[in-house]
This record gives sequence, C-alpha cells and structure tokens, in this order.
Amino acid sequence: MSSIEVKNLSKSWGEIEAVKDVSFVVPEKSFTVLLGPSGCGKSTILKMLSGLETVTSGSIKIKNRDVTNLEASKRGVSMVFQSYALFPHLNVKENIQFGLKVRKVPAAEREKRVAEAANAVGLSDLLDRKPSNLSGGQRQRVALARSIVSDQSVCLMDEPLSNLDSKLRAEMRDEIRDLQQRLGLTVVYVTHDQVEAMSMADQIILLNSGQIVQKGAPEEIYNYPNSIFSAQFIGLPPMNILNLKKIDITALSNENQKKIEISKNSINLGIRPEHLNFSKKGLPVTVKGIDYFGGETVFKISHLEQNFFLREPRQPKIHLDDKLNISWDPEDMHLFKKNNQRFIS
Amino acid sequence: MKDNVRNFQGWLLFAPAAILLLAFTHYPTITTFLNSLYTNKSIIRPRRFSGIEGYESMLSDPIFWKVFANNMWLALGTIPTSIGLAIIMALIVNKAIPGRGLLRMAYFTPTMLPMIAVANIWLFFYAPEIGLIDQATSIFGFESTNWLGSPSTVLPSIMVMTVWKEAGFFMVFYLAGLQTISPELEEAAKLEGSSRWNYFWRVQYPLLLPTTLFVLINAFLNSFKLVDHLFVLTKGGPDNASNLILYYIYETAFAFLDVSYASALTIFLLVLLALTALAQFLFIEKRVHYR
Repeated sequence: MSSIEVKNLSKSWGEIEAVKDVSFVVPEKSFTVLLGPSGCGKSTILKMLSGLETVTSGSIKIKNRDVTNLEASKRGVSMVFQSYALFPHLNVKENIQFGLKVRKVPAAEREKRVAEAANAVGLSDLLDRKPSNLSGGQRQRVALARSIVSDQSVCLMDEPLSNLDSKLRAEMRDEIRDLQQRLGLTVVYVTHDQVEAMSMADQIILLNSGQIVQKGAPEEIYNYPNSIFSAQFIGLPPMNILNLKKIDITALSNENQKKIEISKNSINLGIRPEHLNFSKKGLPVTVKGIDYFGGETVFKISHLEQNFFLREPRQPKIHLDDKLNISWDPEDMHLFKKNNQRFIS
Repeated sequence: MKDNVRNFQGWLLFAPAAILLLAFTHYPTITTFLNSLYTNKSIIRPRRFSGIEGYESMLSDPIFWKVFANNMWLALGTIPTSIGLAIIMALIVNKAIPGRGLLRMAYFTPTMLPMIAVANIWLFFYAPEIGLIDQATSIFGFESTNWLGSPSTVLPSIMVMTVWKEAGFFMVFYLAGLQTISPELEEAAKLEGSSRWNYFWRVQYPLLLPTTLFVLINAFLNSFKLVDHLFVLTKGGPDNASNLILYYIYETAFAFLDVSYASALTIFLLVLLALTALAQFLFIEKRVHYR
C-alpha cells in the first residue's frame, strides 16, 4: 500500500522552475530518500509535501487522501528540520509536547506520550534541560521525539544530520533507521549526502535541476545507473567516465571490445574504481597519485591524458609514475550514449 | 625606570576619556550634589551650609509631588501603549507584504523628527476650533475642546503625542528581535497546528522578552528625559497640569534662579534613574530568557 503519491508535481517562482513534473510513490513504512545536489529542488518537494509551500501544479496524496491544497497541520505529517527548530525558551519536555498542547491533548495522555517518545530516543533524563544546554546530537533527538510524539505515521526529514560531526552522524544514521523500523514510520528524508542515502534508504529518488534522474533501491542505482549524472553522484570516489574516442580500445580484452562494439553509438565508458584491477595485460596507465586510507588505497591513474581512479582493498607495492596495465570484467562496464543516458543492450 | 615610562604611556592613553568623563559627568554631578547642600548666594546673603534642608523642602513642595505624579502617569500612560503598538507594527512590517519598506519608513518617521518639530505639528492638531482634531470632531457635532488648555485633557494629549513619537522607535528593536527568530520555528509551529495567535503567545512573545526589557527601561528613562515639547506646547501649564520633573528643574534653575533647590531636584532624578538602571542589571535580567 502506498502512503504518499506524488503526481506531476511542479513548483515555480515566476520564471524560475524549481521542481518540474515530479512523480513518485512512497510505499507505507518505507524509508525514501530524496537525494541530489544543492538547488536540485529536493527541499522544495519536501516543503510541498508538508504543506509549508504551495504547489504550482500537480497533486499530492497522503494515505489516499488528496492533500494538495490542505493546511500543513491537517495533512497528518510530522517534520524534522535541518536546524531542529527547537523553541529555545522551552525545556525539552515542553518542546516535545508543544504540538500536543496546541491540539489540546488531555494532560494525563500527554504525560504518557511524552514519556514514551523521550524513552524511544533516550532523552528521559534530560526533560528539564533547555535546548541551549544540549549537544547537537541531543537536540537532534528532541526534534525526533517531537516528531514521534505527534503520532503521525508520515515523517518528513530535511537534512537532519547535516549539522552534526561525522562520527555522530554515523551513529544517528543507525538510530534513525532503527527508529523508523521499530515504529513503522513512513519516512521521506532529504539529503545531499549519498552515504546517508545508500545506508538508510529503501528507495532513493535522485534529483537534478528539479527533475527526477533515477529512482530505485540503493543497489539498483549503484549497479545500474541510468545516466552519467546518476553514476557519478553515487559512489566515492565517483564512477570513472572515459571517452571511448580517447582510449586505446585495442588494448582491452576481447569480451570488452565486443561489448563496446555492440553499442556502436556509445561515446562514454563508465567503470567504478573498485572494479578496476592492476593486471599484466590491458589498458596501459601511469600512476599519478596514491591516497592511502588504511582499509583501502585509491590510486589516481592516467591513460592518454585522461585521469581516473582505481580502488584497492590492500596496499600493493606500487609507486608514483609506475607504468602498469589495468583490466576489468565486461559486466562491470557501463556504456553511455551521446545524451549521457545508459546504453541498454 | 622602564615601568615608569610604560605607566606614563598608559595614563596618557587613558587621559582623553578620563578628562572628558571627569569634566562633563563626574565634576558636575559632585558640584550639583554640593550645591544642593548649600543655600543660594545673593548680594545680601552669603552662601551657607544648609544640609538636607533642600531635600526637606522638596518633600513639602506640592508642585514637586504634582510633577512627580505627572511623570509617573506619563510613564504609565505611554509605555504599555507604545510597546503594544510597537509589537503590532513590528509584526506587520516583518511580513513579506507589498510596500514593506515604505511602511517601515512611515512608522519610523516620527522618531526621526526632532521633538520640537513634532510638538509644532501636534500644536496644530490640538489647537481649539482650527486644529485638525477639533475640525474633525466638529463634523460630528462635537463641541470645541481646548486640548492643551484644560488641566483634565492636557496630560492625556501629551501622552498621545509621546506614544506617536516613541512607538516607531521601539518598533525598530522589536523588528530586530523578530528577525533573530528562525523562520523554521514558525514552520514547526504551523505543522503542529499552532494558530498565528498561539504562535505569538507561546513562541514570539517569550523570545522577545529581552527586547521588551530593554525597551521598558529605555521608555522609562525617556519618559523622564523628554521635555522639549513642553517648551512649545504648554510650558508645563495650565496650573502645572502638564509639568514634568525635568522641566520643573529647568524652571527652578533658570527661571526662578533657585540653584540650590534645582540641585536637590536633580540629585533626586539622578538617584531615581540610577536605581532603575540598577534594577535592570540586578533583578530583571536574571528572569529573562537569553539565547
């Protein structure tokens, strides 16, 4: 069953089109990530879902109810803001129960729900604190608790982890995902961080300049990027893109040559850094740089003026300016047509 | 030796500020205090020490009590109203409405005008028969009123003008206060179903408390400091009905030439204002939430 259905959604301010004809479905109790570079319209879509931004055209359905022109508070959604949007003059408890008071929930029930929500995010001991006396992670938890306590099954999150340091971010990632599963929430999560998207999402909706580039499960987008944008936005370092006209195709293995030949009008070849191997035969390259990360080593290599990356789990005995050959399996090779779209055989 | 040079340089740097402060603040304060303890010098009588006689006569001076009460009424009558108006105006011009810049300027204009000019404008409003207010009310058949000439209406008239003059000034502080509140707070409240009014009372108003405190103290101090308009409008009359402490001090010192008594009044005003400032630092500040 679908929880949110977005059809042909557009938003423009005068001449500027921020969101162009976007359609997607968010299944119930799933975790959907709107991913894209800044300015791609992802936050605008989230705001239109929440009702804080008006819709130019298109429709939004939440739980089979058309909410396109409905007030924010009547849509049955809760939201976690990038800056947490905690009320600085209210303590943690008052912050959590703000909405319940507005909705005139009886005191006894309020107490119970606040206690449950605070417990769920591990804030039970901090209820009397003011936001200014909390750490970034704790503030984030208050924002989550406020969202949980509202008892709405749809939760919208706008880059909730972008103000945290990287260690805390990894912890909160797990925690949010865990919370979503435990409480059976339908989450729409906006981020520009592909790591967050890959590790948390059931479904990624990749956006660029107001349009959907690709949607699907993380592994689907990773393994079958439908365009160069998609291929390069996900993965770190990004997928290598080589212009077929500028590489020595004759040096490739027979299978690879055959695959390239079939896709006659392809002009770019894409290959992930971890799918490249140093080998006796294959494309001749020169090592231009070595970045050692402990768990892996990333080599910057070049072939006929084209630079790209190769990722190795170990640290092989290779030095700068070494001249080597690389090869790859044909199934790991992606081919892209002139319009930067994937070639599908 | 080197230390001495350094010390000398230090004093040299300190000197400009110290000299100005001593010459124009501390020295006059001390001489005013001393003057209040002595009688006036005249051709026939030399100056003599009179102790607290000046202060005693102040307590038994009905005019002093009258002007002090006037001042308090003025404060009470103008401060809450101008603060209320200032908040409303700030809320209006904080929104994205067409002509916002123009509206902000319009609200702020009375503040930019010198008090004497403001008084002249309002003198025309209040003039009996030919004044704007009387002309407007005469349309509905009301009798002409001498707003500034009768003891019962003169102080309220001055209050209205003061509110007009001050509200725009306070609006600027509230506007600044409102703009430090993150717009995400409003969105969060909206999502929870909070009405405009509820959001104002539960979020904006409490977050504006530091501003309110600041404005409150300033408004109180201003209500004692602003007297320029009295020179144009009423000269404190009729029968001291619009007289204020500072104007009374001016009259005592420069019209009645009673320097001793004027000094005593000045010291009283000084202590009153100093206590107000102290109250701000010691008591109220602790109760107000600061970010």
